[in-house]
Amino acid sequence: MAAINPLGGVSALIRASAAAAPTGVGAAGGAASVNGAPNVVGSVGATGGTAGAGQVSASGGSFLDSLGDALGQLNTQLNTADASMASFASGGSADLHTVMLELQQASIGLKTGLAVRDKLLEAYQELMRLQI
Amino acid sequence: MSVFDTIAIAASGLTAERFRMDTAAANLANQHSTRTAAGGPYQSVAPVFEAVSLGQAATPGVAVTGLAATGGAPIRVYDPSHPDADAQGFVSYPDVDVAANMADLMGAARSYSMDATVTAAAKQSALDAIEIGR
Repeated sequence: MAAINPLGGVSALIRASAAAAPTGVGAAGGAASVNGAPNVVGSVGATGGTAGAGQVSASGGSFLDSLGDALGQLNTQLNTADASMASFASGGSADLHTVMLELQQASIGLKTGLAVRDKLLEAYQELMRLQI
Repeated sequence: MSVFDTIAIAASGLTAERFRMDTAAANLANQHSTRTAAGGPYQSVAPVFEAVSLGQAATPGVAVTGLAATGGAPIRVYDPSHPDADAQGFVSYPDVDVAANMADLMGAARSYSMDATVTAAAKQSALDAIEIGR
């Protein structure tokens, strides 16, 4: 469960940088780089959601909402795997393959979450480089 | 989450094959059982599987719908000292086909491996899909 919190932290970071980036780039005065910023975040949106960066800064973020939903699903998966593992270990009636498959599903979900986090971090670092 | 659907379908197969192994194990374990709760000798059974069509149910795959009696009439063996011997001194033993049940057991174990391979393939394609984003 500890792996969830960094993801939440990163999404807050991206939320902050998405709000800050247009003003910073606007101060530099380059119209092309203003267009560049949404593209970077937009490539993240293609990974996990549907919305681009324009909606993120305008409406508070449907991409971030869907990211939050995905993290909630991931948390549910991990909890389900945890519960069935505990039930199996304490002599419950769960099949061994059911427990293993739930663990695998949680593992795949976690790997997906990590891949999305990597993309978000990549996009954040890209935005940081834009201001130089 | 279609990759998890694949895993769920294969999981229903795993459960079904495990049940088939259970029935073979029960048949083999009870080949000398002369009494049951319902009375009479044990009756060997085989599972009945029903296909749950893709796209027609929330959880497609295979479902165990019941047990069918297999084997013929009880085998009568003369043993007057047996507590379950009848008036003529014959004991009724269940007609369990050991060779058929062993073959069924092997088939179930192989089918179980097959379903496990399907889940491994589904998992690998999910991991491959994650690799696309890298």
